[in-house]
Amino acid sequence: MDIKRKPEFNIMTDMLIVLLVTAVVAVYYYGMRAAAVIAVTVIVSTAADFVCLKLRKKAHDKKDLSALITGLTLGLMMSASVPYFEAAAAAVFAIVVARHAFGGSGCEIFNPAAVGFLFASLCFPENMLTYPRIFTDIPMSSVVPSDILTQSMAKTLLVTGTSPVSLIDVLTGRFTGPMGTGFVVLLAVAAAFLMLRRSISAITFFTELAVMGLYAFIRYGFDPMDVLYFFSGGMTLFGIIFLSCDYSVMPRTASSRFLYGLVMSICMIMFCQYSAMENAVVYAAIVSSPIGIELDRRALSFADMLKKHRKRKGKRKRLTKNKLLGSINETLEMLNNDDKRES
Amino acid sequence: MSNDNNKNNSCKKIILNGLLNKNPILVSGMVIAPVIVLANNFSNAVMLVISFSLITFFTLLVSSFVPKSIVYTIRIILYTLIGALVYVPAVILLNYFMPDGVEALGIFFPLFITNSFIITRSESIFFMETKGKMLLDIVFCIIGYDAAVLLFAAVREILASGTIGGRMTGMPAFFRVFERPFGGFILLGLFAALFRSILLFVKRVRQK
Amino acid sequence: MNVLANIMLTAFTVVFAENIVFSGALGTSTLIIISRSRKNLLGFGLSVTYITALMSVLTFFLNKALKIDKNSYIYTPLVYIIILGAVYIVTLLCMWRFAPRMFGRMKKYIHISVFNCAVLGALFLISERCETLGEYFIHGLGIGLGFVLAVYLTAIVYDRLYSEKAPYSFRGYPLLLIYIGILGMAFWGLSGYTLKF
Repeated sequence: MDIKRKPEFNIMTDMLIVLLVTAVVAVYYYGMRAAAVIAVTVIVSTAADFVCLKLRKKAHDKKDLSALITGLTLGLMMSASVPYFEAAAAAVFAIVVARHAFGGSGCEIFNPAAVGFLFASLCFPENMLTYPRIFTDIPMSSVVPSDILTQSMAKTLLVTGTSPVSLIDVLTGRFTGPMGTGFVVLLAVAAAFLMLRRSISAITFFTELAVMGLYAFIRYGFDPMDVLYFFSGGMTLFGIIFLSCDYSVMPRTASSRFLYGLVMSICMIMFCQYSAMENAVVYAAIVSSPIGIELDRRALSFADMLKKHRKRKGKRKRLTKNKLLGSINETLEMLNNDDKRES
Repeated sequence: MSNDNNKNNSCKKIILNGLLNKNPILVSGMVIAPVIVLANNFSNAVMLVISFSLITFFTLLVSSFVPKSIVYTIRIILYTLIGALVYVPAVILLNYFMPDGVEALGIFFPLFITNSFIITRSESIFFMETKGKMLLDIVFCIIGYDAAVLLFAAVREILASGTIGGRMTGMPAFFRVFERPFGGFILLGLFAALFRSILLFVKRVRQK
Repeated sequence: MNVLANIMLTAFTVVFAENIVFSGALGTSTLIIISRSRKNLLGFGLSVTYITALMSVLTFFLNKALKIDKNSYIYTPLVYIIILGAVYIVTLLCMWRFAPRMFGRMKKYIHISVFNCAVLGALFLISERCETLGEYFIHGLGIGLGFVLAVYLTAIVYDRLYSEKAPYSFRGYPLLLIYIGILGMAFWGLSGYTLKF
């Protein structure tokens, strides 16, 4: 079952619309400083993309908006107070190392925004993982005084086990954290929009949502509020939509999309359970994406085999025992030889 | 006369291969582990280079006397055994001269015994015509490795902590990721890519 | 129950968080060679795991004997290599005697799965970290499995790393290093923080 793909350009415009709406909310919450950070990541990633294409002597495709999307996603995952240089470094790393080294748009193994974010948060943890409070007046200078910065709500939840945020604040994303990832209601609407437009995979999305929701439900003692905290804090929902259901890393067949969602959620649970860190979804998205490629390949070769099998069955209705053995052998051979198959 | 010329040419080829075209670390990817984990500052890299050169050179020198008639299965054990034997005087020597350095190398020092460079080179020795050429090949491969590691470590130290040999360079910002093994992987990958594109560029210029 | 949880935690740490390739970079050269073909991945993985597990148990007894001498660090590698060589030969002989077909297939790969930095490095790592026999065994098993995991993760994207679409200067070896580095970055997230179980 090969799912028909929409033209990439349409997917990208859908993504862009959703991200822009989220960015507007982020600017409303955090003021012009947020707008400046987002502008830096977007401009730097577009410029880096342009330079890389020039260096590789490739023509710039006007319909390729992937650099814009990467820049926006990256910007929304950051703290509104992050120094401009660090935001720019993350964008350059995302575009140069995670996209163009692997062959440019469409050939990535990892989601570039996830890689860029991870790079920056390991390089500059003290700036990347401290956040200003919402509606505070953040100075526009590159380095923000540290007295207005605190740890995120997700970190508080991890350390103390309780969160001081009310229900309405969680739903609208009014808590300290990455600037564009907390507004659960908006993100849910965005996900629905993207799924209806077939820009992200509904199968993967719901698989991940169900498994992670179940995990959070069990882990936090059957409290629906805590499940909500789990999805809004630590950019879990944002990560599911924009990092793991992203078209650049999504497998092609329905069955492999389901399995990919399962693998992704297992990785996520592993990271949540094992280490006390926020933003586990970014790590999980990176670890699970190569497995998505493999699942796709397996599913394709499996479907191919089934097709052949059916054809043969049509010709001769009865299968002898030897034939059955032969088909099993064929499967094994195919699984071994599918290196050559381009996914 | 033409014979002499040929000889010179093949020597030049061996030297260039070791230093550039088949540089053990930047092109072939041999003995990466210590470079990635340890060579995050210049002084560590110097220690690494000294001990690597010492062990590898003498192991390969002795290994070249192992006759080809022995089965490969046994031969490979002999190579590592020779490495382990060379390690004994090497560790005594280095411990005498720089005891801190050996400690800094930790478990990677004994690991030079089974490094992939020894295992692959010791086999390729059989294809060399003379002992002299073989020695030339080994020496220049090791020099190529050492130079690449020292350069890599210097750049890595500047990027990761803004210092060189422990002294500040006045870099405005640094990326601490590169201190860690995964940063080493990424930086070495970028280094190898850069090296390859430089080689390609030189080749093209020459052709023109 | 507690013991079981402890064992699981240790194994998990060794396989994922402190993966021998992603965080220790040991055996990378071997990984580059072996990830080229997916056909022999299973056989290779089995032999590496078998060797590390068996050797870790042997190392436990060796280390006990070696501890008596203060200067034993000078000849420890030599002893390890001798034991490793003996295990290698015995394994080959057993395979040749009892499973000749497997011997024929594995002949090419078994030397590379025995004499590499991952196995010897594992022995040194284990001797530094562990104390009891159980710990030695679990670490040995875990390191072998972790190495196999790394090889598997590399082998599944091998055609992408070497594809025509990747720019020439990155294609192959440089891209492979970057790939491992990025995965290492993600796995480091497991080891860099405090554990909660």
